[in-house]
Amino acid sequence: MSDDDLDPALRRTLRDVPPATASMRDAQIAAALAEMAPARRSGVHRTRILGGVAAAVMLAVAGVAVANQQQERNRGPLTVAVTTTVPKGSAECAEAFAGLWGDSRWLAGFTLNGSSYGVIQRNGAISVFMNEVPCDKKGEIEYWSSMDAFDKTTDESPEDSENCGASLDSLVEYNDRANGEPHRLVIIKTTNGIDLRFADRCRTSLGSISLP
Amino acid sequence: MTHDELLVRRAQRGDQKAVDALLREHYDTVRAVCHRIVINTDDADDATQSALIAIVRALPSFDGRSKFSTWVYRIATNAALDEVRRIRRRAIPHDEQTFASLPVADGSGAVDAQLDVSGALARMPEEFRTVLVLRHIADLEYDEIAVILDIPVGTVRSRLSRGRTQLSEILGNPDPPSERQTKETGGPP
Repeated sequence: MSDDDLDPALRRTLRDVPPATASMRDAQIAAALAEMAPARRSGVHRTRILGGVAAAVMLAVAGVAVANQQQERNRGPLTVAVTTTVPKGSAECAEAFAGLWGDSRWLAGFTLNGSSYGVIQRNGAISVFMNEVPCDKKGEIEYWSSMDAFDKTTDESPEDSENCGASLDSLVEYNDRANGEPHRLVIIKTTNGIDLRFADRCRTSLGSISLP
Repeated sequence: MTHDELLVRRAQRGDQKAVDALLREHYDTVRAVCHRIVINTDDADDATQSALIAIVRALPSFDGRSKFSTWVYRIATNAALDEVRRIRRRAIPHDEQTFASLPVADGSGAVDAQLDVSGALARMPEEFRTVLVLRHIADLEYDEIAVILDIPVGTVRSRLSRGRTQLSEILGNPDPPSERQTKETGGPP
């Protein structure tokens, strides 16, 4: 059977998938590149990225300071200077997620309503960032305390939710500890954001982040 | 040595620019494969992301026994099929999500055609949809599709034939408007 058996117009329509936006394409490729071993990246590039991330953090700090009307008047010029050093490409976000904070780890990337996001875990919290410069943070779940409390009080047993996890749209599972006890956690993608739960007692939420 | 082969060699030595170039070169087709197999736009974007990450992770183990593009589309297909299985595990039935994510007809021919093809693909069995996508989007030969899906060439041939027939039949006999509206809004059948 030859290719001619499919109507050419239908074949064209079949291939005509609406293109990704440039920012989504760049973000997805950058997230994939972040999977390369860190040792393979050049020192110069890492320094530039680190500078960009640090600049973004400093910019956020400056913004908070201004919002709180603190008396650190010298932050005005700093904001201007920092703005010019924020990296231009989304590769910087993904590389930052990949571990430039040292104690953070990249957990997952996902798309919701056409926007690309990244999830990192650090110090008992997960954070969702836009996967585009300036890598805006969209929310955070600090879960160590709620994980510990829920672990002691819940009536839900692993047996109760034996089939619960399989029915949910899990983005990623990972391990963390509360008071030294190891736990398996799962991040669920919902229709309007993400939700964090125990992997084996997934009816109760440990926290959630709503996204636009 | 082809352009791809040169880039692959550089990429396997850890050249990030070469990896970037390879991903960009194959991005559109990887995305198209994922979108036509998964259908739902957000899920297809997730599958695309998973495929790109899997390509980078597996690149050091690519041994050159197949064309690089074939290897890439195999990974993309597996990522898309994994996503389809993940969708099936959701509480919300796949069909409702699929139809809820389809483009909305606006009277323009292009969107209507997309709506028809996406809707038709969504109604086809996954095994027919997959071979159609690999043949007509990834431009793979029958033997390459057979290797990717781990099925005999004869099965590829028969699934393609039945898939083409079914696609044409669905497009030639679409649901009445009232039925399609019900599906799009996720209401009861």
